[in-house]
Order: sequence, then C-alpha cells, then structure tokens
Amino acid sequence: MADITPFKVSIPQESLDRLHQKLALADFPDELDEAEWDYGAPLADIKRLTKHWLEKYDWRAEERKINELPQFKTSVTIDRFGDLDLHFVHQKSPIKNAIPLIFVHGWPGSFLEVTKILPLLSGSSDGSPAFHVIAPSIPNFGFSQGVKTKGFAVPQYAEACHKLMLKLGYNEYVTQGGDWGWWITRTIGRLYPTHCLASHYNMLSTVPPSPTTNPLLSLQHALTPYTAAERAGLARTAWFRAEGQGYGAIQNTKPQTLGYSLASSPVGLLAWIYEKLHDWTDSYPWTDDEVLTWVSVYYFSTAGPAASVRIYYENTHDAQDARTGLPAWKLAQRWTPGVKIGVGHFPRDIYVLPPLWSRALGEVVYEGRHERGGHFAAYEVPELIVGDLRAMFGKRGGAFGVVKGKDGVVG
Amino acid sequence: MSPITPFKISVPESKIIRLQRLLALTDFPTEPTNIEPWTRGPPLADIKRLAHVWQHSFNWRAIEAKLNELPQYMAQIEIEGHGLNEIHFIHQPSVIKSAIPLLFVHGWPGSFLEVTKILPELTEGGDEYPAFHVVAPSLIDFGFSSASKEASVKSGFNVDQHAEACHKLMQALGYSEYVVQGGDLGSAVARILASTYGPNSCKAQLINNAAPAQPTAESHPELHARVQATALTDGELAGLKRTQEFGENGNAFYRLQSTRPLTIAYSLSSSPVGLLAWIYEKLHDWADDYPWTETEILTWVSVYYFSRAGPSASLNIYYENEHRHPKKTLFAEMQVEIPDVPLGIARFPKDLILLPKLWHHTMGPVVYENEHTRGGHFPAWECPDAIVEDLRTMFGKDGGAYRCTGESDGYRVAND
Repeated sequence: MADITPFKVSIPQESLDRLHQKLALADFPDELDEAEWDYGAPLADIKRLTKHWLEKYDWRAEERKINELPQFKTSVTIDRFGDLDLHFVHQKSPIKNAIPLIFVHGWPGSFLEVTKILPLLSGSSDGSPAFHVIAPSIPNFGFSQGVKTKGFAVPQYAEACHKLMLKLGYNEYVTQGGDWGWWITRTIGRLYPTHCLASHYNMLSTVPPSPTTNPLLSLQHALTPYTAAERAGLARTAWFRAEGQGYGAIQNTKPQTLGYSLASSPVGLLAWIYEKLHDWTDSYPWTDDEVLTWVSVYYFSTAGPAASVRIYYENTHDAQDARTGLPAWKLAQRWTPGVKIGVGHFPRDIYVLPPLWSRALGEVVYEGRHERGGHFAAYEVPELIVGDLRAMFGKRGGAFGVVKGKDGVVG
Repeated sequence: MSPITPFKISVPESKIIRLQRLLALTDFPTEPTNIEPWTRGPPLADIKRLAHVWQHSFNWRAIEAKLNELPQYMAQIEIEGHGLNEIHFIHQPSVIKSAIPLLFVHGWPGSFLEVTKILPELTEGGDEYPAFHVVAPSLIDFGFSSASKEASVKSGFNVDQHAEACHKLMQALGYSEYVVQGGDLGSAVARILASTYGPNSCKAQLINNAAPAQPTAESHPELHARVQATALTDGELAGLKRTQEFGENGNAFYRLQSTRPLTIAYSLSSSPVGLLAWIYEKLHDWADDYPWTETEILTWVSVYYFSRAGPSASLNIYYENEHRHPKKTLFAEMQVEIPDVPLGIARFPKDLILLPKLWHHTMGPVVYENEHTRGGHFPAWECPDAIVEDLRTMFGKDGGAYRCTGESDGYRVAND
C-alpha cells in the first residue's frame, strides 16, 4: 500500500491569475428578453456568475473546504492503457465491518457529489449499516489523470474503479452511481460479478422489457396502465430527448470541436455546465459559489475540461464485446446476474422511466420511488440516497450482509 | 420608403486588438494521440496553426479593403411584427438592362462572401447565355446586417421573416419579379420565397440542398410507381450513404443549435478559437476536398467574429425554425409541394443530404436538374463554374425556366 499517497488539491496561482485575465476579457452573446431558459442559460445569470467568479468567488476558501475531505492518489494499471493515476476520496468508517462502497460520479458531476452523504454513511445507528466510502474522480475527470490514447470506454472506466477497490483491499464491494456512474457500475457488475455484489442506481437508462428476453415482465408491462407519476416521468424523458440532448449529440460525435471552446473559455464552460445544473435538478437552490466550484473542478481538472467529454464519443464508438457482439452500453441495459440491485427513482431526473423496466436489469431487491430530487440525487437530496442505501443494506434489506463479514452493523 | 445607402465594412480597431488579446490568452485542449484525423473535430495542429496565423499575420484590413471593392449597400427594411431591420447586401447589376434579377441567399457557416466568385460571370452575357442582376444579402443576424434583436427583442424571427426581408429587399431595388438561388439555410429561404411570394414575384428557384419527402402511394401514386420501378444509380446509392453518415455523425450541431443555441453561444462569443473550430469543422467536412487556404478560412470565420450581430446571433435561426408553432418544422416546410413555381435542382456529390432524384418531383415542377461530379455544400465557392453553368442553362434559351421573368430574360435586346 506504499504507493497510496494522501492528496490535497492545490491549484497553482498562475492558473488562477490566467482564469481572471480571461474572465475580465469575456464577451457575451445577445439574448432575447422572453427567453428564460428555453435557449440555454440566461444572460443575466451567466453575467452575474462571471462577475462573481472574477471579483468575489474565493477559490482558495473552496479548496480548503475540499481538502477537509480525506483524499488520496494511487496508480492502477489498465489493460492496453498502462498506468493511470487516480484521485479519490476514501472515508473509512470507525466500524470495522463497514460495507465497502464505491460511489461513481458522471458528467458534469464529480467526486464532490459524495460530500453530503459522507457524514451520514460513516456511522451506524439503530441498526442501520455503516459504509467505507470510496469516491474517485474517474479517469479524464477531476484530479485523476487524463488518458492519452483512444478507445478508453466504459469497460475501462469500470476496470479502473474495480482495480482501485482491489488495491484498497476491498475484494468484495458494493456500488452507487448515476449518469456515467450508472453505465460504469452496471459494467462493473457485469465484468466482475464475484467482486461487485450489489449496486444502487439513480438515473437508469432502461428500455421496455423485451418479449423475447423477459416475456413475463413484457406482458406485465403491456397489461398494466401507467400511473400518473410514470406518465409524468415519460413526459420528462421525452422532453429531455427532444430539447435537452443537443450537448450529448455533440459530445457523442465531435468532442474535439467542442473541446476547443471548453478549454479556451471559462465562460463557455460555465454556460455549458450550468444549463445542466438547472435543467436536470428539482429546483435545487444552487448558490453561485456551488455552481462555480462545480465548474472550477472542470476548469482546473488535471486532464482539462475537453478530456471529460471523450467518454461520450468512446461509448458511442465502443468496440463490441467479443462474446455477444454488443457494445458495452447495450449490455448495460440487459440482465446482469449476480448483482443485487437497488433503484432510486427521482422525479426530476432526465430519464424517468417506469420502475418495472428496471426489473429487467437483474435481481432488484429494493426500489425507492421518491417524490423529490433530480439527476444529482446524492447532492440534491442526500437523505433520500442515504435512506435508500440504509434500507437496501440494512437488517431487513434485500442486500443485507451481501459482502461476507461486512454487514456494516454493530454487534 | 426604405432608404438604401452605400456601405463599406469598417471593423473598429478595438475589435481587432481585442481579438489578438484573446488569441494570445488561448489554452488548447489535449488530443488523443492515435485518433483518425477529423473523426472527432479539427486536428489540434490545424487549429494551433490557424490561431497563430490569425493572431500574428492575418491582415483583416487588407481583406476588408478588398471586400470594399464590391458594390455593397445597406437597406432599411420593416419586418412585420419585428421592426425596422438593416440589411447589408451586394448589388451588382449587369450592363444588360434586361438581365434577370437574381437573389443569391447564403447559409451557415457561409456568408455573402460565397457570391463573390460567381459575380463577374453572372453579370456577363446577354448573347449566348443570359445575364443576371445579382443581389446577395447578409441574412439578418449574419455578416453586416443588423441583429434581429436590435429592432425587436421578440423571439420567433425564423425563416419566414428572413424570406420577407429578402423579398422586400428585391422590391426596394425595383425588382418586382426575380429568381432565387440558395443553399443550406438559403435553400430554405428560397422555398419560403417561392411558396409565399411565388409565382407573382418569386418566379423560379434553383436550390442545391434539396431534402424532398419520399413519395408514397397515397401522396403521389404515379411518382411512387415510377420510384418502385426504377433502380437507384450508383450516384444515388452513394448519396444515400452520405445522407446517413451526416445523420449519424455530422448533424449534432443542428440538434444543439435548434434546441439550446445560447448554451454554445457563450463559447462562440467569448472564444475566437472556439468559434474557429466550430466553423472550420464544417468547412472541411462539408466541402469536396476543397483546398482551403488559411486566409480563406480565417476570412470566413472573421466575417462571423466581426459580424454586427456577433457570432452567436446566427444560431437563433435554427431554434426559431424548429419552434415555428403552430407551423411545421423546417424540414417539413421544405418538403411542401409548391406547384406553381419552377424548380431547379443542383446536386453535388459531397453535399450532406442526397436523396433519390425522382423524389424531387414531390417538391414542385422540376424544370432543371443537374448532377455534378464534383463539389460539396458550398458549390459557389468550391466550383463556381458549376453554379454559373446551372443558372445559365436553367434560365437560358433552351432552359426550363427561360423567360420566367418575362422580358427581363437575360438577353440583349436588339437596340441595346
């Protein structure tokens, strides 16, 4: 374990100075007065945030707060890609038999999304389980290393997460993830079924059960009318697909074209990300500081903000699995044996699909149908994510004791 | 009364200095080392080189002086519900008084520049082939025309308003009857001109970028039967493949610009290199191996960077076209049959959407069709001779649109 080193974020002053130079020179587009959010982030918001970023926002204070998290760095070796330096949060619970849990973020999220649930997962009370929590910056994001060659797709992100857990001595573990974290943890479960024993998801990109692979579920789907909540969820999903996926189309096909903008313009990066923080959440009352800290993690990231969108391209152009002839993203939507699954459904996520569809993913032992919360559930409604995990892994939960000798409960 | 005044481009020195300061502050992304060039966007080496030239040796003032040799004007045009707009345009009449008034409409990321190579030839003629009076505007929100926002901050300035602007411009110039040539957004404007102002004013349309509907047994029984009975040519098969390729890999910009234009606008307005990459990707991908020089690329991009409305205003048309409640979306509108305005189709093999040729007949009366062997999305720039040939043939003495503008048929009158 000698090469697991403690880490503190420390952005060089010259990077801060250069950021300020760019912010001071920012030119803005025009905007139509009635636009609100229809065309993208409103001009008044972006101007205000830019001014705050330049004049009042205190990155050093935010950096100090981030550095209160227990952060580390270590190297893992990825097949065909060599060694990669990974940054991660590692909070060990004082309870020895706590459940090892890896929390995998997505885009435009980061390891920061774990911050609010950390204090609630560490201890055990009234029989609810405790967790050792590991939250990496996935490769190409945050303070982890960037990947220099092509083809680093979801299976490789899964491999990085899995090898990190092994390196930390967690041979068996559970996962929590949404956004890319969903795709990555699905793939961890598929590739490492004897290690990844249970997974909790928020944001699932499920499909209707297929009559050939899931005839009973498919029949049930056909015969059961949707509830009002399900109809609302499908409408939200349809809205997202019609109006909200332009960014995804660009990132899937021309990430380098976009990368020139994201790397060169902090205001461009801010607008690109902030639109999601607004559109994808359940009226979360973002403070300006929160927004700028989330964006700064991208701006100051080790690999640079352009690297973070490559996962979209690689996923779309992923090599097909040798055995099935299917790309990783398709396999993620199919039955994965050996992983006990818990699902958190949040009404203001971007894909809000009927819970029945999730049952085609594998053995679903827990389902949380929530009335609040959106895409960044652990950050918006941490108590609901924690509630899901405690129920799923608690004494009466369907994944209780799934990791041998580590049920997370005292006594 | 819509006053028309001569115009010369004069970008303030402060804008040029600011551009150079921003270029000096540019940070570049990394690039995976083993990718196929151009699969994910313009190569890093290209963008770095172009940025360097733009900052250090590109001479905008020299370009500006050259452009100002063109006959440029500004017209004030009232757009219904959207106030008084100012339209920048080139107007090159022919010496042949009975020349055909031709409106040339650019698209994105093109500009009025696209007409400059065909101007001299089009205004010549009158004996063996027709001559044209050429009018080539900057669309509102583009080039040196005003921003639609200047006159009215209302949203909804879509292709209908752009067509109204073009039509009123032609009327203001005294061309009560005219023909139109357009590609990209310009072909959409041409279709709206034909449907709204044809056949009385807009007498014929030549478009490169037809995107027709597929004839069905219900919509066009005879045509449908012909389509079923006719094998596709190699050219058509290649065209379908190209269309599919575009749909899968090349039209993300359309999805983004037609749903969240402001989200990318902040980047394009604040980062010259971001704008350069956004446009240069299309100049490369959409042309037929055209050997763009650095000066050409940077001139095209500078027209956006130095545009009166700013580089991002030009994206709004995408959003407005796709949210034309309660009217149809743009593509649906372009498919609507216009039965009384002669239609000419110019096909270029490296264009983006190339559907089976028989389908064109669902758009209206096809009086001219030419399938070229070279050229892409910017034919007037890439292969100007081809577009000139198309116009001269379509409107010439043996052409399907001959005399559509009556006595202004493009030919010299005996006592001229």
